[in-house]
Amino acid sequence: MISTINAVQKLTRFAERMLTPRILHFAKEQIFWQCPGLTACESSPSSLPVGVYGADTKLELKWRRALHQDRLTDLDTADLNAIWQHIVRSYTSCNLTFSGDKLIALSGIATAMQRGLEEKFLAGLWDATTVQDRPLADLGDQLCWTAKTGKKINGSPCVRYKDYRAPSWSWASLDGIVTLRDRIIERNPIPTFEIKAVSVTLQDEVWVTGPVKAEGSRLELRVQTLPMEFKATSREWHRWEARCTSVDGEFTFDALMDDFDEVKSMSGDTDGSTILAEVVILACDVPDGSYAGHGLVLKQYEQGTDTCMYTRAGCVAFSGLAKGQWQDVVERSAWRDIVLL
Amino acid sequence: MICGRCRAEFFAPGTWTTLRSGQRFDILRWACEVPEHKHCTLCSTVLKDTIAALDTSQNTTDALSKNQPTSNWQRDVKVWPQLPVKVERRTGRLSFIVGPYSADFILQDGSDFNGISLKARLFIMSPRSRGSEEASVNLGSSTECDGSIQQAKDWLQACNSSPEHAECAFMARNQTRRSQGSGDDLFVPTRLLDVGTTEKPEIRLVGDTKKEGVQGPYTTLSHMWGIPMGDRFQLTNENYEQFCRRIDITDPKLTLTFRHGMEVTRRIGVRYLWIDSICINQGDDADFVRESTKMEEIYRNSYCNIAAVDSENGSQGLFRSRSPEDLPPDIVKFDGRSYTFLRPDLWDQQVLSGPLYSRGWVLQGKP
Repeated sequence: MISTINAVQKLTRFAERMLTPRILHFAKEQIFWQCPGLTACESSPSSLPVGVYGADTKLELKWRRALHQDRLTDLDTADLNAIWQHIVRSYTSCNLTFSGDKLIALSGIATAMQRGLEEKFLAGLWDATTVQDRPLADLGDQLCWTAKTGKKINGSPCVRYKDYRAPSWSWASLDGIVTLRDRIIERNPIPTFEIKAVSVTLQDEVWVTGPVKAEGSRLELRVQTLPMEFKATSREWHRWEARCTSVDGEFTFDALMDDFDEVKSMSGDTDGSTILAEVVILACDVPDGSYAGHGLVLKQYEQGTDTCMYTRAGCVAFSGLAKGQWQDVVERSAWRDIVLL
Repeated sequence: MICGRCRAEFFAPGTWTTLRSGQRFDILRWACEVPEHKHCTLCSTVLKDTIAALDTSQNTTDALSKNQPTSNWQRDVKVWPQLPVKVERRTGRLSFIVGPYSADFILQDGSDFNGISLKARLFIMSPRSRGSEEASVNLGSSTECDGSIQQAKDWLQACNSSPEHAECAFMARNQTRRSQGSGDDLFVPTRLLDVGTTEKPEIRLVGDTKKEGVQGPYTTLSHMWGIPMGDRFQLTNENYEQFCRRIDITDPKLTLTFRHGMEVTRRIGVRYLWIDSICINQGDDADFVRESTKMEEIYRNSYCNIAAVDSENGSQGLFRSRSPEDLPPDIVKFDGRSYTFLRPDLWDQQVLSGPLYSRGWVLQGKP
């Protein structure tokens, strides 16, 4: 784990290296050159063979290319998403408890990506609905990022920043190691949600990849909220057996959940081994006859009296759910409109 | 360099075709026993890698306890030559196998290598084109030399105008429009440091580029501070007026890296430099927000980024002295053709693992 100052500095260096088309690297023994068309050094001024790049450099060259492309191919789009996944993971892995807003630190790269992708930046997530011919429904997948604790923090769970940084459905609201899911559009065998509206309010409206404020930042969904009981199946906090009961029947499945303090605070007993929560399913698939997928654990928004107001308390991954059980409960559950703050 | 022994064993005429799998070489012995071989790209690298790969293993500990060497040198001479080294031949490729470790050296035509085991050290042999055989590179004893700066200018010039740089065309377009004065819509940062010219190296801050009609081009600087915020050379409300009139080059807070950055900017023929701490008012939050929104444009439109790769802090500057004779890559011959013999991790080792970038932070994040 590197120190806070170093993490911010290294992210800045990485951004500078990615964003400037031409670089003169003044190194120990010679000057190295890098532009989109040539990499060279003083002793091999007309070019360096591809073989002299290690894995890191090859990856970086690919990414630089994608960031400086005038017109993006599908491959470039995939590269840009890989950069974002990678950067978020790397950056949130550093112990940044005392650092400033994550969105400010990542703003430069986000701006470059936005120029290429032409998607709308949503406090760390990307809204592809603004682009023609781009698959629309992947915001559900993007919402299913997972948070966990670095070993360094001695097992205490991830925490939400005390000061408002981002809506609860954005990873930028959280201090913990964040993993984003691949932006591959998974076909839901049964439609489980519909995004009605999504918006974030910028602190400064010209800084579209900059910090955001609470007022007006919300996600409106049409979903089925399923009441569930999670029982810890091992000493490890992340593994659970989940049970959903309703008048139409019940089903159980194996679940993995975020290591997050808000999830734990929802515990129904003193030792924290049982959690009662409402869950919405945002992605599911039938890989081998049984259902698997991802959903969000919701928490009632306490300050309001409106029962449709929630915050995102965690992400749950489920597997091993038989088709018949699913149909009994999920297909008969009522649809309702909720707001995630 | 490649030592005489390695040249004789591996690069003598006809050697490549007569090498057989299973053949044994005392490559570690000659690397250990002849001090001049310490700088050999081939045998000394194989030795170093062998030591690194085996140092932690049980075998080594056992071998060391038996031999009880008193210095590294003695240890090297005593322990390593006793390890068996044999050659393995595969298509277009020759490997030295040293215990669990292998060092490969490879005839390579510029194509990519994937799926090579991490323990293998690849040496790249890149065929040289006819033209490059005559071209010899004259390198000075420091990266400050005219030759180095001229090389930088040549790269920039080629990138601006050469058809081989089609991918860089957008840069060239912008630079041409700037020089013709037709780039009114081109991006220019709000403030820039005017570094003067080589003849008249006077420095001042251009407080409002629009008002003064300054269009650039400008360079940017990547560097490490290495000192706390309060001690840095930076723009504040108090020194704003002063900076716009003149910046004193002898100001002790102005670091060597800054001075070198200005010097390189001038010597490559550019008048302006953008540095965050001087071009963003550090005492004005609104200014910070305003300029932060432009960060991506500032870097994207930079004529060139000057990176102090080998400096941990501002006092270490950009330039480094060097032994020019060590730099040119080795040329080896096979079947009448010339090849450049290179270490395969050249870029990672010399650029990305410098203090500025410290390769690895990105990888730390991987699961």
